[in-house]
Amino acid sequence: MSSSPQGGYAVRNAGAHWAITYAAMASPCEILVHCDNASEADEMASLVYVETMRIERKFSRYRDDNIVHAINHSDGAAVPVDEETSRLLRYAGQCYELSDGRFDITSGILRHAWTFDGGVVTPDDALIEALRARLGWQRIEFDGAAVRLPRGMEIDLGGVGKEYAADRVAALLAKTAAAAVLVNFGGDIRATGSGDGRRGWKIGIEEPGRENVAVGQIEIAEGGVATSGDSRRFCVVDGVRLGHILDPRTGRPVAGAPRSATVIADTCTAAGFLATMAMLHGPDAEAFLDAQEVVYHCMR
Amino acid sequence: MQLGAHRPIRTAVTAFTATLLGSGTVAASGSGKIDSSLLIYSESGRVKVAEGVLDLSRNLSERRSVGLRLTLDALTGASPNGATPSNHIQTFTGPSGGSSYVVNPGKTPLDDTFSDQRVALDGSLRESLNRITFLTVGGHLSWEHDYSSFGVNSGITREFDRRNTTLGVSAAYTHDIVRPIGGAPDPLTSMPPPSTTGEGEDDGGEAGPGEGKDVFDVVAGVNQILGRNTIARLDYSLSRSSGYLNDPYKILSVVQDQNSAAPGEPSDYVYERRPDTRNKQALFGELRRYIAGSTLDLSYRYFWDDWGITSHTADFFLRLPVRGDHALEPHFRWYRQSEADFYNAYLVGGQAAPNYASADTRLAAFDAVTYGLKYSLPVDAGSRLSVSAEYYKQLGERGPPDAFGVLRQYNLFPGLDVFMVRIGFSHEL
Amino acid sequence: MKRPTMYLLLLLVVAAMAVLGGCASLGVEVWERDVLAKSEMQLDNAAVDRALDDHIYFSKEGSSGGRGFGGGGCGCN
Repeated sequence: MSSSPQGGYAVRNAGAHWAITYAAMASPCEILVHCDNASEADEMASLVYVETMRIERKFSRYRDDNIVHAINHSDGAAVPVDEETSRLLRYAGQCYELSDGRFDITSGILRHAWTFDGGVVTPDDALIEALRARLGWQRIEFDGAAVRLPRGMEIDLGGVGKEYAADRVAALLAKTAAAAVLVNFGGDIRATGSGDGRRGWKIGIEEPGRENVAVGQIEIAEGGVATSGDSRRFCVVDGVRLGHILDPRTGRPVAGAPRSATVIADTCTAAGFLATMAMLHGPDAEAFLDAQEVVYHCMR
Repeated sequence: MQLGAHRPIRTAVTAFTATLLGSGTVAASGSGKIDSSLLIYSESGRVKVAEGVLDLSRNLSERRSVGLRLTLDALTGASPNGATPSNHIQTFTGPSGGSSYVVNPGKTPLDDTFSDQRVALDGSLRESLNRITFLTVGGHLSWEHDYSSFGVNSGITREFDRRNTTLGVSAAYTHDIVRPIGGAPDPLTSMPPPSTTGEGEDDGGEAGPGEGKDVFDVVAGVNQILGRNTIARLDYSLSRSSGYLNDPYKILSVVQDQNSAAPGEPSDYVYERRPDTRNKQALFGELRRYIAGSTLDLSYRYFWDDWGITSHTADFFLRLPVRGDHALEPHFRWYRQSEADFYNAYLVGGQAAPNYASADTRLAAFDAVTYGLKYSLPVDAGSRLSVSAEYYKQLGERGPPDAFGVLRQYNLFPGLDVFMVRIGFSHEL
Repeated sequence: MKRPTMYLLLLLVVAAMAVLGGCASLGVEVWERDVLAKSEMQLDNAAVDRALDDHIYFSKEGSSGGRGFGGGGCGCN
């Protein structure tokens, strides 16, 4: 049983649950819900689609009509921010401090110095140094109500946006329906149970290059899963394969990092931060995650 | 990148993300709510009331919300007028002076000329000054045939300690205008005899000139989260009223003394008199706990005022979930009050008249219990329907220990037996 | 005020202070508010019901106030 896509999303019955699918944030989005009938599923679909689109439009770096654009083109002036943006910026600041500077939403400009299409790259050291002079969260002035970026600096919420959206959408559904929900935004996952001890969701982990073969499985009723690293995006420098995660402190990709790190935590956002942090620890990724006492899976 | 020990940061990450995500509650908590209820209240043999409330609240922005409440009620039926029963027929003058009503021997005198409608409007505006401080301002208006009221109120709350503790204080000022039908009677003067021609001296049924009353209220309180499943609160409230505090329709029987020919039989009726100020205070504590899917709420209020009344109120609410997001909620309330200093079931002729006197049983000593059961269920997304039935009973002493003569024969506390049914409907916008 | 009343009042005030004084150790972390966020755990979740109750008991009994305001606003004394 399925209903035709309307407003960009599709709803279909998948046996024990209903599946809502659409594309957003450059990823396939799938939301699985336990609910009683098609009209309930359709109502939930409408809610989550609107919320996902809202977040995408508001925080996408590629638009010219949102708060991120205003901040990135403020030319050194202070930009007042609303409550939601304020919370995200505050969170970004806390992550910056917690990661000793590795997690930095002002480091997006480094993309001008690197391409990760699998080809051989000779890094332009002068360009990298020039870009590094224009990044650094510590240079930003943020008091909770307004943010001021020095000229030439940019923020990029792409590293948090998808995970934040997954958590928000799951919370939205958990509030309006008593159903168990699984949100999967291209591998960034948030599950919420109905709180009555019902069975959890089974999530298969695929190995890149061997899709549809699950190399591992996790079962969660409540929590978030996020993966950092993408084995399709890499470059080769001096004969060494490097992933696409850049360390703002050096301006270069992290050497010796796993191909990917998947972390399970309370929320998708927390899992995403820990996964990114793991990658940024390069060869120490597993040791770092061991110290955090989370369930993880690193692929090398 | 150091080898060796890594700092555990998971707790911090969880805390930061919880703050970011609003820790379980969606930041934009809907755009508003409609809450409505219809109450049918019926005292056996006496007053019947139908009351409807419509409550609208709307979030105007992330910082501001407004609320509007409309209340309509219609009241009809008979209420004790304060006089004592007699072995003979009693005749009382109606409020307008022109009408009168008759009470049979042995019956508690009831004034059945009551019939009134009331409209009340309450508005409020709530503003978030910063993420942990909230300011509320509000107003109130109400009209009845013989009573109108307007008021303003304001309050401020602030959260502390990771939002676990909330302190709040609020104040209200209300001005009431009482316009008793036939004018406010002279207190402790005799009720005029029923007019034989059927015409009254006054405007016959119209509300007379108004008497004023001012009420000033202050409430200070603290809410405290005690644990993952428990929240508690403690409130102190103070209320000062001044002005016309009498009930213009209530009287006292002046009975013949013990040595007369008909001891305890009424010889006269006088209007009551209460002081023109009243200071009330109350201390209220509440505990709400979530226990394996059910919710328990226990509360207790201790009340005292300068009229000599003290009271205890204990309330018990339990919410039991039923399959499919339905809920069954039993409720029990126990109440005990002492009598006002100037409460007198009757006055004795020949004795010096007291400064203040009232036979209004609402100022007497009595116990009361309420038993209730409510059932609620979801209808549509975001809507909820509920039905409840309650029984309320007041029990008081038959009469004062020094009752004599005819007064010993009768139960001087009319008591109260009330059935109530409520239908409620709420919808999240 | 009568003596027993005063002692009761004192006891309640002391209890309140104990609650407040120990409040640094009471309470939950930000991420432990899942149950507290439920609608049935909001102290003001039955506002209309309590308003109707207050009106009934204010009209039929000699006490008022506690939860909210004890003012008048109607001719039911």
